[in-house]
Amino acid sequence: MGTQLEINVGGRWLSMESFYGDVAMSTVWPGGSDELSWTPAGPPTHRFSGGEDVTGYFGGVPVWRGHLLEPDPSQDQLTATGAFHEGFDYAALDSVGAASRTPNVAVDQAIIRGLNWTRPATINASTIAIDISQGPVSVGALLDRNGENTTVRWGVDPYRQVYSTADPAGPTYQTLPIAGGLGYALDDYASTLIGRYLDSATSTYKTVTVTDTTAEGRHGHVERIVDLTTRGAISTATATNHLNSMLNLGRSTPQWTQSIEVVYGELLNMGGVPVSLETVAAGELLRVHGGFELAQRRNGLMYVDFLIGRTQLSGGTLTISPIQLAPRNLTDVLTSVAL
Amino acid sequence: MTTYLRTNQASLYLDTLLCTGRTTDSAGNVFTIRSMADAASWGAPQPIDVAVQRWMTDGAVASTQGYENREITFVVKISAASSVALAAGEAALVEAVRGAVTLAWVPPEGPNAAPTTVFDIWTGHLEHQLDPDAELRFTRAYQVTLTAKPWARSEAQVISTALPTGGTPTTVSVDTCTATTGWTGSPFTPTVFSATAVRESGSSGPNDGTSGVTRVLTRTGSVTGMGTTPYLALDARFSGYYLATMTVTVDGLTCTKVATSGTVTYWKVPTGVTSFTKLVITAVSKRFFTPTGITITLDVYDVTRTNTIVGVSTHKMLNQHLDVGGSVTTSGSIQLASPSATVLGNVLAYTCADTGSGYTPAMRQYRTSGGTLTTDATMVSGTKELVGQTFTTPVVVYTLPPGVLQEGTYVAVARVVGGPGGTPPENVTLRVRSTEANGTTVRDEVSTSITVTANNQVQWAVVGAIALPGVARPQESAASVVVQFQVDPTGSSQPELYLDELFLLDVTHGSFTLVTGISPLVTFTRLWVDSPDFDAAKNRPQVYYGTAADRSDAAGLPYAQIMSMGDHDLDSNGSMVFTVTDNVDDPVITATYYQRWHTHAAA
Repeated sequence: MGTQLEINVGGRWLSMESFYGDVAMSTVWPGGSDELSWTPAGPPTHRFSGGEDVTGYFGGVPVWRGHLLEPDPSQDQLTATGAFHEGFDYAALDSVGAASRTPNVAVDQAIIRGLNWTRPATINASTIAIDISQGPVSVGALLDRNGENTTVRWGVDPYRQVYSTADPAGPTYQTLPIAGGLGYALDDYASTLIGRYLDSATSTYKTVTVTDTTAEGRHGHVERIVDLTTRGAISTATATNHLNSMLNLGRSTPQWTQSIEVVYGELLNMGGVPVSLETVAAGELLRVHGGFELAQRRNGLMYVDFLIGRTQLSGGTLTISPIQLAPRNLTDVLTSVAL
Repeated sequence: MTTYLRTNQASLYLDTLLCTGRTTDSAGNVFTIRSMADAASWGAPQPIDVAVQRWMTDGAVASTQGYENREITFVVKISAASSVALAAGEAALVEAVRGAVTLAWVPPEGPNAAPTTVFDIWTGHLEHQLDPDAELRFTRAYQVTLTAKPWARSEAQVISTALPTGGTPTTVSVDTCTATTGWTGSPFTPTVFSATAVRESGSSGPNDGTSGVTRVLTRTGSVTGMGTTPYLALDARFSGYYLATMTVTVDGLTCTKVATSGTVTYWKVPTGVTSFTKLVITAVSKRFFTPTGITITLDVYDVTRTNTIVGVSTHKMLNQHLDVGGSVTTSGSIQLASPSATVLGNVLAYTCADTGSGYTPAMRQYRTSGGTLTTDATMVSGTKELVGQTFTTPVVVYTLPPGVLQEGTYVAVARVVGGPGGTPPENVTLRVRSTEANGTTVRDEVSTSITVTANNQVQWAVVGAIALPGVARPQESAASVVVQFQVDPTGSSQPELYLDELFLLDVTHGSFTLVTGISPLVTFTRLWVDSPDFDAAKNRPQVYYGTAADRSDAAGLPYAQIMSMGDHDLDSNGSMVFTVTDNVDDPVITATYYQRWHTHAAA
């Protein structure tokens, strides 16, 4: 079947102007479109300079959106980066240019200054707990912190609409068991988080503890200490909410060590019908059938639902990685430490 | 007895250079080129196979993603009377290889009997093979290596124009199929089903997977007037298993399938046939294995003769069948031409292999409930359906019979019209969802938001890509497939919006091109959708617009008007071409292409 993506760069349909191949597309969650790359087979009719709006289409439906990175003459590949990355190129400011802690305001003002997004729905109209004493943070960092504090994740869809949403309650896709299972790691796992924060009432440093008792019963008691002082002065209730949010977003969930590779026909919707791989994006819940690793800890449950953290499509094969993927090779370990 | 040719009339041309005979160049040098059969190879398309290991099955899941180029190699020997002429021969060969576009091969039976096979060449190279003894004989040998497109093709293009349409159709009933009078069947005796169809039905018996199951219905009775009504419209339905082929013959002569509209297929009788006595309809299922028999049925509901095909709902939507030929998939140029000076308007062109399932992307024919319908000749469906504002049950329900939709991804495209009494600009969300047969349990949903900026504004909205049928079904399933269309917000204060038609376009097995108006609007009476292979020089897809049939005034369509660019492959066993031109009735659809083959052309 191959990968059926049409690429439009700056309003130009690439296949009408030049030969290109080796199209590879990736999405991440939170975020959305991550990277789209292709290899021109010859000198293009139109030279691109970088910054052009790039859309990946599947059958007329936009499935990827971002902008072109400046072409590197030493490379034979052109790469576009996803629209959500642009949020990290804009500061979170209010209408008078001061540092803002309100996601709606920061996004709207950045759009006015040139950020190529739209915001059709509210993300958060209130100020959030983030330390701006050293200066404004980026819009992307503000949205990241908003997500951590309120148990949501944010992204930019292929129509360049920024939005935030809670994790899906039920699976959208399912696949059959894979050889070898998904692996299982507790590198980042914690059943109990102990947070150190600056109390807004007393202006002193205090400690608060939260526990996910369900996770504790399944995977054991593990305590981790979290520094919440980067949120500025916050109340005890806020600190507790933030720690609970971290648990819900994945700290109390084990990680996986394997990704899944599928070709067309192996990834199904919940009705059992194959879905086109080009339409699969990170952020959806995938149900993997099979009684491996977790089944024993979950009373024999014969499937695992995980949130897709990353998809990579190339050559007709889709690699799906869970959002909780433990780094197991040197490159991934170094990347995770740097973050 | 083996046939063996006594004379060898084979010839090989690299572009215009004869590689199997004598040439005199423009400077008067005379040289002879012979192509050697030893170690010559036409190569083969290189499959790109992917295998993924699975747990529940032994072996890996293997699928072919596509094919890579073939490599053609052969040795040529140039002979001449002098070294200058030899070198001139080499120069001619270099020129031919460097600019090579085609390699044409005529088999030994000769050009009058054997079809010419043409390979489309990307690039070629020469390598000289030094032989001192041959030098003394004024002969030089060169290895020619050519990288060619995977598939070979015929020498001549096929230009296939769809039937004449338009005017007032003449339709004459041949048989209403309410009785078996004049009908015989094989292998069973036909019966009447529900007082509406002649039925040939029975158990398949155990099958060992080597062949499909055949059902034949034969009508004997004089039918005249085919000269003025050359098309037979058959409402013939096959059920029980997947249909592989349906053929229709009149007095033993094969009819050509030309169009489909729902369950009715249109067949053109051979040219010159003005009457016939025996009509034979043969349906063959795909091969299968079952330890016990299943019931396989051919029902014929109606036989009519007509002088034109009908549109799907109106003549703005046409569903044509194309007999393609060749042995592998091909592609070419599809032209839509207005029959008058009226511009085509917005254009949707969809192609896929014709499976005989009766699938057409337009859904109004399957509508079972929805909003108030109002006749409107400007709509491509002929009616408009109120889906916004005072629509109290804001869901349009389509119920499709089993077997119509193949499993795959369908892009939902809606043609909507703002009402005359709206208050633009208005934001509206369009939703398409698949449900269980009960119509309640939702399996999947896609949506998109549009803005209605003016009253009576027409919009083509790509709603999203949805996997259908929503639930996996075995081939024996008789459950319907339910799809719903909904607009929100709704309510008396909300946008006044009408649905003209909802299209579900199977992009797993086909492809579509959608051209809509974006101001400043380019209008046209002709539109060409060219596949990459159609332009041998550029090898890129393109959409052209113009007015002249010979393309003398054609130009590339502005990109902003192209909402979707299709990859229009034509299946060698026959393709369906579904077109919508929302400003004009009965456009003339023409496909121009080469038949393609694995290695040797058969025509």
